[in-house]
Amino acid sequence: MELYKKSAAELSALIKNKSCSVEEATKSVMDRITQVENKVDAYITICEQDALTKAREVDEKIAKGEELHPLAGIPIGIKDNISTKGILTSSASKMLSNYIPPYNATVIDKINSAHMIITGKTNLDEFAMGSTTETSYYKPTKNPHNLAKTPGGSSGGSAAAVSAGQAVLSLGSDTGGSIRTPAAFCGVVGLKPTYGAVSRFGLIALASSLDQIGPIGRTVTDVAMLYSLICGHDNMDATTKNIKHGDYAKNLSSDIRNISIGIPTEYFNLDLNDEVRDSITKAIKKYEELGCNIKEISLSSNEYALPTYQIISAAEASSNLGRYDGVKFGYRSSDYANLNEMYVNTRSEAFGDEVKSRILLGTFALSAQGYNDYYYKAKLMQQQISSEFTEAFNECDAILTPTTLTSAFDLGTDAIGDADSCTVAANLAGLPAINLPCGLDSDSMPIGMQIIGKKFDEQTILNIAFAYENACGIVNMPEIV
Amino acid sequence: MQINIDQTSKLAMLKIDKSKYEQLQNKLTSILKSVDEMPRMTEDLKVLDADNPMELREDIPIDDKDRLSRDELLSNAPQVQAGCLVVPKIVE
Amino acid sequence: MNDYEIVVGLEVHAELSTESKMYCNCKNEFGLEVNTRVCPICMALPGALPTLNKTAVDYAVMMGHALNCKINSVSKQDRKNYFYPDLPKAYQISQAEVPVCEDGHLDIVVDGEVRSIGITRIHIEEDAGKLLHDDSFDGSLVDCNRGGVPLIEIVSEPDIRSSAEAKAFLDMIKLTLQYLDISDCKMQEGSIRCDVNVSVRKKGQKEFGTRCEMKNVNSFSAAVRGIEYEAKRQIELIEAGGTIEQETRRWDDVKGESITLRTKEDAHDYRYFPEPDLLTIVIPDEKIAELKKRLPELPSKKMLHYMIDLGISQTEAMLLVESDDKSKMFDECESLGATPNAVLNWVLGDISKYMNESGKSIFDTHLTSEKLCELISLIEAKTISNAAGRVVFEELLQRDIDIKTIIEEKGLAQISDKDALLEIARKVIEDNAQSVADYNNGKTNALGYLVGQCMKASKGKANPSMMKELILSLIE
Ligand SMILES: [Mg+2]
Ligand SMILES: [Zn+2]
Repeated sequence: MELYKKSAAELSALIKNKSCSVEEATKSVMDRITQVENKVDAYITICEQDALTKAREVDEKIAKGEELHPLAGIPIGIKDNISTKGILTSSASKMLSNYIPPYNATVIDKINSAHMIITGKTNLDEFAMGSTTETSYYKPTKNPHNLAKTPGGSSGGSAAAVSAGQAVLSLGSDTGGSIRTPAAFCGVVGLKPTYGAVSRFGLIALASSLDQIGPIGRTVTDVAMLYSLICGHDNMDATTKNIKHGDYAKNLSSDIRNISIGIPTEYFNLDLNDEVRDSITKAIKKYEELGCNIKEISLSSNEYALPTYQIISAAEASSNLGRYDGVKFGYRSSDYANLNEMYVNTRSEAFGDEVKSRILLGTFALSAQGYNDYYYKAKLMQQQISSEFTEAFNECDAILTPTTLTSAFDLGTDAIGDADSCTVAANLAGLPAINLPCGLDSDSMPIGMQIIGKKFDEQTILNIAFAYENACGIVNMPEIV
Repeated sequence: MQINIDQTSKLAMLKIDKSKYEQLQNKLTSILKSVDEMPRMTEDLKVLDADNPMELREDIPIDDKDRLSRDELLSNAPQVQAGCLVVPKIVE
Repeated sequence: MNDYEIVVGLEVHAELSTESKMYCNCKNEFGLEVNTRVCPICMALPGALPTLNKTAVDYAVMMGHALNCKINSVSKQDRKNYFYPDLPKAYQISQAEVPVCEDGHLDIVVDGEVRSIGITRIHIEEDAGKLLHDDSFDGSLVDCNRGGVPLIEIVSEPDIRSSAEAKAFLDMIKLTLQYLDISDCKMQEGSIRCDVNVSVRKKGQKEFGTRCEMKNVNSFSAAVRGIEYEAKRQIELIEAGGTIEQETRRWDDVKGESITLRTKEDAHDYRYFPEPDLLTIVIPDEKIAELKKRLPELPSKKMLHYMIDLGISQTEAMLLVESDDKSKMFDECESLGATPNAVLNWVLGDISKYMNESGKSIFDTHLTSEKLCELISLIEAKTISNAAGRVVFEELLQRDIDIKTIIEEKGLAQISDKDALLEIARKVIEDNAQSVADYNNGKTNALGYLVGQCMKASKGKANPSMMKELILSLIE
């Protein structure tokens, strides 16, 4: 039985009715990692021994008849910018290539208390800055559907691992599309939750006002299960909202009749690849068949979302990354004669080019010279973009767009700057958005659509995705060649 | 507008390789240009969101037995001496 | 020098005596072993996030009320970015745009005149860690225990016109913090510190001169010295034909001089922006009102009453206001109608001495304000002498007993009967002929000796002023 191919829901049922043990499931995933990791490079750290030990412990609990969480025993990969106590958490940077956190992120505590099995820490763009995983200090991750292509980023390792069967589920983080873009490129489901739905405590910050941790899985049900586990108010994160969350998986419904889906014309005026356009158009037709009301809507400021995002995220990042100074943790240059040289050499030697360029942009945007014309102007535009969404949601329940302009492109392509142009607006407005596979292109590369919802209305976009998935199926796990 | 890389990198505690100046300058300039071309929303920025108040933390200190030890907290520090972090000598 | 006016604005940082730190639940305690009051949050470990201490906000609002500020029911926090080893995050969480309190004033009395000093704002922020320098070691050491301790920063308007006003202002800020019981105010532990902005201008000139900011002023007396030094430096420079450059200077209290820390050109660009890890601070109006009700009677109001209404000197008024016990005893006696000066003498004299020596509160003894008033009126009515009054006072500290009983028990009633006193006087003159002769030869202090002998003979009960008059009438 190739257990690594099972969805979390299937595996959970098998474990529950004792058709397989957690150890067997874990071993199957670990063997798959051994088999394909040298091709995919999804992981920075693989926790094989810990995972197997943990798996046996969970089996013992099951043997004792303990009532466990439905996700107990499910192997999960964790993006390497989420703090795991005692396990290297590098954020794919030379700066943190020796950093072992003494504490767990809140989401890790939740995963541990549900007795999920952590397979390892997945690769990403350095400090989550990128859309291809190529800015990783360690290595680029490859797209399991075609090893010459990028898996997308920054949660490229998390999406590739799930796509390739090297994890059943994974956690990513999304600041401007970092869950949805790689999910689209790798043909998996990825949810960026509403800002404030999931605790960021322990997530190594890129841009604090935009970052959210979210689930990646091969099915909508799996994503809903993991989201239900990780969401909720946290005393350690003042930006989490204290609202009641239901069980998103149990409440999944494929009856989406009379749901109205807005189609923002502006997204289709973008430089969209024809095959992507065709797939999305077909998906919209499918939704009509499923009984949805399709409405054309306008999000006219979307064309400014990308520069707005670039300024705000860089500004916050420049401040968030000040703490990497060679004093408390991480890398320290060995070449310095005084404090200033230690700061400058440490940071210049250990940050990659992309990180440096964003720090410079952000530092400038917040400086006396740049504040009004760049940071403040971008904040004004962010406000405009948000209010356009609020207006749009008076007319529809959810908004459907492409996730990316193209399918995955070749590694080494000078990273297409516009990779995030469909995804950043949801972050700027703090809205939940999901990527759902909606077909393959002529090269058999996955295409993704994005469904954006109202704040804290993850259930609606999960249902919309669930209905489509029920009708059209999921992407087959690729042969890794 | 252009970014003065010397000045900005000094603020950011970074040293930029001269060989990378041009490429970097082009990249940053193109982002700034797209912001320059963006319309400026005249509406005032709402800096205070009273509808989204923050829950404050009760003033209760952590129990000594629950806190991380100094060794754990300093375990990642590049240089430690007498329970302190060490930095190059600062002359005041 | 006299043609110039000094203009001073102050920024006072006060550590709040909360149980936990501002943004994490580490204990807020002073003087512990290095780096034992730290956690991932105040050490700025990757991924750690701040949460704001409710009590710190309450304390800031209380101080705002005490300084007559407008309290902002909605405010926010900002990041102030700069690199320094005592600041692990490389930014301080502070308030830039919208502080908790704005637009207040504090009244002080200097040279018998009331001065109202404007308060620009009071905001909350976090303290930095400490750098330790040890000559035996090639490097500096960082202790983060103080990092994240809650601070309020109180910023005054440039309304202060002399070092004496600055001192009175600082004293009153400190007293107010103590009255509210929101800060330990231990100067030696650095729990209150201030930055001083000084400029000078020709008297009558409307515009302000260019100001210099002085850092590292670690005591109020240093603030006085620093202001005087800085004003003198600026005046001399202007008089010599120079101009003042806006700059930040560092006060060296040991050398008694300030030196340039940075000029306007290398002024920091702190890149303030809204703290994205925290949301808006919303304090409901009912809460603001409730915190106002918590205020005790404020020291500035008391100072004004003592100095302006009662004419008590600055030093003595300060001595009263600084001590809860002394001002309480004084106020009670005053409201019972006792002569303020007499009460003041007792409170700042014997009561103060008792409290210092015993380390106890006067309210833990059997002395009450009613008894002190009775004692004062008995002395004023000359029923007992001052000396006898002291004896009564000592008894009242120890025993719950009424004054009449003490006077009877100890036979302390003063003799004011002229015949009885005359008899004593005649006897003393007879026995001390030499002193009488001395007095008549111009040695006036012989009179004191004679009166003293009379007092002794009366076992201290004679009315000393009557005694003196009688002696004089007999020997002149
Ligand atoms: Mg300050
Ligand atoms: Zn702490």
